[in-house]
Amino acid sequence: MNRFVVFPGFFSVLLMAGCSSLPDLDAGKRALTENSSAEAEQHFMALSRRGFPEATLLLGDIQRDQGNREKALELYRQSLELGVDKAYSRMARLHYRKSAGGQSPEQALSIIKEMEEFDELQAKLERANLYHEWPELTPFDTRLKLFDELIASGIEKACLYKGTALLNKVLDEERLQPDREKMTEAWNCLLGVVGSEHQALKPAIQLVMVFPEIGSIEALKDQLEDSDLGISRLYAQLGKAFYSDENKTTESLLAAKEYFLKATETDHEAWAELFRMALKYPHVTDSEELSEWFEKAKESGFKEADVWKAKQFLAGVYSITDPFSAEKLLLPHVEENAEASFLLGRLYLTEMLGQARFYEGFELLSQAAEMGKPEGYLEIARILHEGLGIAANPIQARIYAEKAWQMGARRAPELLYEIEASRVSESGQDSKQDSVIQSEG
Amino acid sequence: MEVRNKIIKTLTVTTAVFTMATSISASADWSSFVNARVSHDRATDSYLGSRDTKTDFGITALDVRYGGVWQNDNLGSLDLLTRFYLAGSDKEIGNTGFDDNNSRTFAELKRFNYQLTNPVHNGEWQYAIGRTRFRESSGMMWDKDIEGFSLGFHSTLLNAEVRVSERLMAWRTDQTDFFNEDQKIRYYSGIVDYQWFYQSHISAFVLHQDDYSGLQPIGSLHNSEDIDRHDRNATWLGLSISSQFEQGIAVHLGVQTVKGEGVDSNSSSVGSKRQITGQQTYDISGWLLDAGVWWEMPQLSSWFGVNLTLTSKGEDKGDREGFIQSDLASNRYRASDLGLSFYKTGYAYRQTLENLSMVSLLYGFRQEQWRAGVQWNLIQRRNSKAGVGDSQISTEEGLIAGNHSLGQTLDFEVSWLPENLQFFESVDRVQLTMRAGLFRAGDAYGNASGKTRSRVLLEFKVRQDLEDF
Repeated sequence: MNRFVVFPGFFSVLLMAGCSSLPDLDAGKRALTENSSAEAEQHFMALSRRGFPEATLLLGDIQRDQGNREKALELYRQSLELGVDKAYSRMARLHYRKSAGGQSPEQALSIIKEMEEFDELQAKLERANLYHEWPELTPFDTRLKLFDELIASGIEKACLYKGTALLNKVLDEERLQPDREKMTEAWNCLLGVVGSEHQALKPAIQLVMVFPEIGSIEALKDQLEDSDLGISRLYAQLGKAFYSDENKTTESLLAAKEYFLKATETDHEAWAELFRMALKYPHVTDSEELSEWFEKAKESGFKEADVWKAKQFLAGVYSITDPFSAEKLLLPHVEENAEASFLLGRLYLTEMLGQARFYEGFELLSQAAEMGKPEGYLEIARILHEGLGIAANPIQARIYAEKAWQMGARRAPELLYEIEASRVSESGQDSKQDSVIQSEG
Repeated sequence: MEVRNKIIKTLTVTTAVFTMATSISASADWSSFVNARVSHDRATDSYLGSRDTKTDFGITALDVRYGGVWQNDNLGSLDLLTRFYLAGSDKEIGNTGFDDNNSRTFAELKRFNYQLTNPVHNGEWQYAIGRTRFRESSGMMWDKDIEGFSLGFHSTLLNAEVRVSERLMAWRTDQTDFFNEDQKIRYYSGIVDYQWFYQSHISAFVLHQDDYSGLQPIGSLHNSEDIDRHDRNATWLGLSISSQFEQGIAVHLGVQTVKGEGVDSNSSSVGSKRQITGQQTYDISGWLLDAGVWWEMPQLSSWFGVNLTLTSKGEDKGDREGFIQSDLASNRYRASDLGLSFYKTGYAYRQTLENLSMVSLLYGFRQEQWRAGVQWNLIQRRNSKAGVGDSQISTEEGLIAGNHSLGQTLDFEVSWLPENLQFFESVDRVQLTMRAGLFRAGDAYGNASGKTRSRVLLEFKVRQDLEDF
């Protein structure tokens, strides 16, 4: 082979070998699925600087998932300018999704109107999503008409929306004289999509519990038996339905326990529900049974079993409070489990293990927040505000509380209000003292 | 050769069956499709009336392709494409009308390769082995089903591949389409493409063609289709740069060089056979320049482009020392994301890029269900005393020394991809295509100057993904 081939050939191989660490969209997406958002961000950032619109969009997703709404919106706007139409939906959702802290559905509606110009169906679906979350924005009939249009276009999710809307209409306004026809229609809608839309299960069970003559658990079982969702999700939802019974009678809690236990056979999440209930209502089980559940949960691969056991030790339910055992259980999980990081961080800030370890505590709480638990920042803010064991620092407290609020911590506004109120009263006292000094002078 | 072919075929089929069985037993995911195509390709006389016998032709064909991919995270993927040419009918039109009717039917293994992704690093590396298809954006290496081994690195910014390939045998039941001319040629290639900014690329390739077959001895007699007409050992190097700007303007510039040597066989008719009368050795040393500008006009769903192609003209000795293309070259356009496949030198002319200068104007239109394109070429011979490459035009008189103009071509292509056809509502994709090409000879063709040749293709394709069926 002549030299013209050998040199460029080797050159190509060397070039390929040396470039394995180049930024790459797929590598970034893989990092995201492996919960390594810092690595993903590096890939997307480098590509975004090189003008890749999708990378800018994905950077927006990372910011959104970390609770930085404004930053996410800015990045979505940038990717929209670069021609990524998907950014419309994401922007709208940030404005209307309550779980993402969205409180401005009107703004979302104006974005959806822009969307209509180039993707009518997607815009309609987005509008339906919005009306489902904010039903008060538009009359019932208008919503129903939109859902029907989407159902006619083959959008299954619209059946969930229609069923939920009909059910809520009856529950809110016609509970005493329910329209049987409406309820049957709602049931048919929900039953039809319960196998593919997991959100349909909750209203379907609600309908069965309120109108047992129209829907039945058996029908839901039939529907879910062969579906991707699986029957365990039904049991978990039934457990939740009994658990959320307003009266919380022993019977309803025992029924919930039974369903949660059935669900744990295939659904790990049901363990969490079961432990939550057991720690809150100790009379539904005993310490022996609870220990057995922890073992089973661990064996079945439920990674958070240790964290729940630590919670039990910390709460002193079924046994005396045992912070040392809790620490031992939590330590191996702090790197990958936000809850473990949060609990241990909070434990270190107390004197339960001896002297408080503020530095480690703050580190762990920050880590928990970075892993998606904003309460970590909120806890730091509370310590700094109240000066529990350290000097109070209202400015830093406010910064952390704001961070927690941006990430969607529910109690953040309350703490922010407290911080602000105490700052005002302190400055008021200062000004009074100033006036005394001046008058004395 | 026959024994070697049998061994390779047996090994390939055994490997295929073993891999398929392993993939299936390992719960690998198999997705398959069927593609049916009915086409009619009709062209007028390629001698431009310079012979007594007209040689218009028409081919009507029905072929069905069955393909699929086995995919497994651990074992890699197996890519298969078979073709069943069910009712191909060639009709040559003589003075007395349709007097020659060669109907054909055959089955062919088009593509069959095993590919493993992620053997080294995070899914960016992959290697493939088997009967593969490969492409290079300038058209120097394009669309051949050829046995080979490749190692590639594919990422957002960098795509690179090294490959060794050789067409080892005919995989058709009628054993045609694999002539002596195409045998014992090995290709070594390397391609690197780096996207330094979004939609801005710099690419380089190297291709070495090693034809180790050797020509038939002078004086030997052969059937016309068995003659090995040339051996070429040459290396091509290419470099191209392209960039798309915000205003919708895209530019590209490509240069290629070739260096090597070749031997051509001369032959003459002896009864029904041809006898090798001599061999001519020549050096190959040439270059090609290809540059173009495209405007994208989204409000009109259109693209407009201007392109210039120049290739070296060689010496005046009659030697073929200009730019010569490799035996893999196909010369299809990939200047823009049109979804159309124009031939650079026109559908009715299809000359290889040798000793020519060509100006092209292109227009493309694409909306949801429609794609259309128009291409006009003005083609000149740069060295009016030297020959040009192969084309579909062959006049008795040949090219006239001193005249530059080879002619003009005009191509038109339109495709309709309906989304909701009631009759085909259960089918995944339907496509109806018409491609028409017109060539008007220039003064280099002497008496045939001003004469035209046209070619029209009508094609109807249906595709069904079988997992949805």
